Amino acid sequence: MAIAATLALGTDILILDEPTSELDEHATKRIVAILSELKKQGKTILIVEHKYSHFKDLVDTLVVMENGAISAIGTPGDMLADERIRKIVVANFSGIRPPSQKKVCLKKTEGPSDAIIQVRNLSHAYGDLLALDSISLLVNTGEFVALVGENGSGKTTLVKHFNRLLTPSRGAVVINGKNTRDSTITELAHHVGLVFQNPDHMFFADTVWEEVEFGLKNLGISNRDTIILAALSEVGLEHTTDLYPRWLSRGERQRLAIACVIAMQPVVIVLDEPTTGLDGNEARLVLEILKALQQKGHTIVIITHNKDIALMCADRIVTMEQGKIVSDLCNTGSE
Amino acid sequence: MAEILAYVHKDGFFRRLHPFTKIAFILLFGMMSILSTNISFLVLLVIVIIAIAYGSNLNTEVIHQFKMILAMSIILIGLTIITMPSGQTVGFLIPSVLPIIGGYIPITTGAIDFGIVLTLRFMVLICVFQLFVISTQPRDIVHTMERMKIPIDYTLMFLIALRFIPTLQIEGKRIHEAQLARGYNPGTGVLGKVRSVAPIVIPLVSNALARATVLGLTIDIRGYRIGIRTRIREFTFQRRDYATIVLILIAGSGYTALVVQQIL
Repeated sequence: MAIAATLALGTDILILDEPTSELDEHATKRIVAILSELKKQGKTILIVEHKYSHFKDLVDTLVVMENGAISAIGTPGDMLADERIRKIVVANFSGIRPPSQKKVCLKKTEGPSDAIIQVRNLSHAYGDLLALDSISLLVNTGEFVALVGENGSGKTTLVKHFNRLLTPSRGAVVINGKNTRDSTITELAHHVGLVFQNPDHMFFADTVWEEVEFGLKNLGISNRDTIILAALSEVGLEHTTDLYPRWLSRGERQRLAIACVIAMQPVVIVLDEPTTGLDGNEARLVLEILKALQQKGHTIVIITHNKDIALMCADRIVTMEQGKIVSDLCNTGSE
Repeated sequence: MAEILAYVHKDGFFRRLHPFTKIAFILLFGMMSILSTNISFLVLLVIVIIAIAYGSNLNTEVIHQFKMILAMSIILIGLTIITMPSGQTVGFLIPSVLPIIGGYIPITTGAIDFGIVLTLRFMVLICVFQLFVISTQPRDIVHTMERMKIPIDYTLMFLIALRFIPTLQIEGKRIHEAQLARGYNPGTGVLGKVRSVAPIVIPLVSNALARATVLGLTIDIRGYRIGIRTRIREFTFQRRDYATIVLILIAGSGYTALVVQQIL
C-alpha cells in the first residue's frame, strides 16, 4: 500500500527503508517480487535492509555503512568474499547450537507432566474473532523453542497468556505449577519474562542502570547492585550504566531490553521477534546471549519469522497457523 | 479493541451525507447546546443524537462514550457544588451528623442544576463531534476543510491530531503491557499514582514525537503541499442533503424563535 502510494507519483527512483522488517516470510517474498518487477521496468531502487538473503538476486551494488561512513562498496560477489563484511551483511547463526545439545527436545503434549509451561486446550477470542483455537503445548525446563507462523497466526496472543496479559477464554495455562488464572501479573513476572518486539515501548528511566533496576524494585528483590551488574555484563552492556537508554543503538537497546528481563531472574524467557531490525553481527550476538541463558537452565521461547534462526538455534520448532499449532517438531539439526 | 474517534466503515444515513451538511449539523447542535441552560431541552438534544446514531448504525460507538461522560459528570457536579453554591441547600457534602467537621460545603439546587447542564452540554458536543468524525473518511474531512478555504497547514494539523488519538490509545496499551511484564504495579495513594505515570507517559511521548516526525516527512515526500490532486470520490449535494439542511434551518429558526419568546 505504501509502495503503491509512492509509485503513484511516477518517480523513477524508489528509496525503501527496511520495507520488510516485521513482515513474515510470505509477505517479504511478495515485496521482493514487486520490487523485481519494478526493476525490470527500469526503476532505480535504493533499499536499506538487514535481510540481505531475500534480496540477493536483485542487488547490483552493495553498500556497507559503518559509523556514519561508507566502509565498502562493490558488486555483491566481490563484497561477500571479505569475511568481515560478510558477517555484517549476512547473519550467520551456525554453531550457536552445539551438536552435543541436540537432544534437549523433550516434546510431549499429553498426560500429567512437570513441564514448566503447560498449555491445555487454550482458546482465546477477541470479541468474535477466535485468535487461539484449543491449543495444547508442553514446554520443559531448559528447552529452546522457536514459535513460527505467519503474521496474525496467534503467536503473540499465545505468549501473552504465559504471564496473564491475557486470560484464557477457555482452557488453562499453568506456569511453574501455577495456574495463571489464580496468579497476578506481578507474581507471574517472577517466573516469566517477556521481551516485546519494540524495546522502545519500555524505556523511560534516565540511565541504563535505573532502567534495569525498575523491574527489580517492582518485584522487591534485594541485593540489586550485584544482579544489575551481572545482567548487564551478560548482554555486554556493562560500560553503558550511566547512559540514557534511548541514546543506545538499535542492537544495544534490544540487548538492554533482554537485560531488564533477565535481571528479574525468571525461569522462562519469552522474546517476540528479538532480531527485527538488527544487522548480522547484532542478531548473532542476541542469539548467543539467549543460548548462554539456556545453558544456565533458563527456558527460552522465541517468536521469529527467520527460518535460519529457528533451524540453527532452537531445539524445537512449533509452527502456528490461524490460531492452531500445525506442527511441533524436534529440530534434528540441518547444519 | 474499540478505537476512540477512528473512522468506522458502517453504512448508514448519516455517513452518506455531504460533509458540509454534517458540519452544519455540528454547528447547529453545538450552538444550541452552548446557548441553552434548559435541562429538558438539552435532554431532548441528547435523545435526538442517540436517535440519529441508531438510525445510522453507529449506536454502539456513541453509547460507548457514555461511560466516560458519566465519570466526567460526577467530577463536574462535584466541582459546581464546591465552587458555585446558589439556590436552596439540600444537604452537606460532609454530613452534619459528624461532630466538629460535619455541616460544611453545602449542596445546593443551583449547583446541581448547573452541573447537570454542563454534563448534558458535554454529552451533546462530544457525541455530535464523534458522529461526524467516525462517519467521515479522513480524506473527505481534509477535502471539505480545503474547500472551506482553511489553510492546508491547519487542515493537516487537525487531521494529524485526530489521526493520533487511536494510535496513541493502542501504543499506550502496548506500553502498559510491556511494563506489566516487568512487574510494574501502580501503587496506591496520590504519590503512587504520580509515580506510576512516568513508565507509561515517557515512552508514549517519545515514541509519539518520533512517529509524528516520520508522518510529517511522509506527507511531504508524497508531495501533499503541491495542492493539485484528483479526488477518488467527489461529494455532490443529494436530495437527502437538501432535506437535512432544510431540517437544520427549521430547527435553528425554531430555536431562535423560542429564545426570542423567552420560552427557553
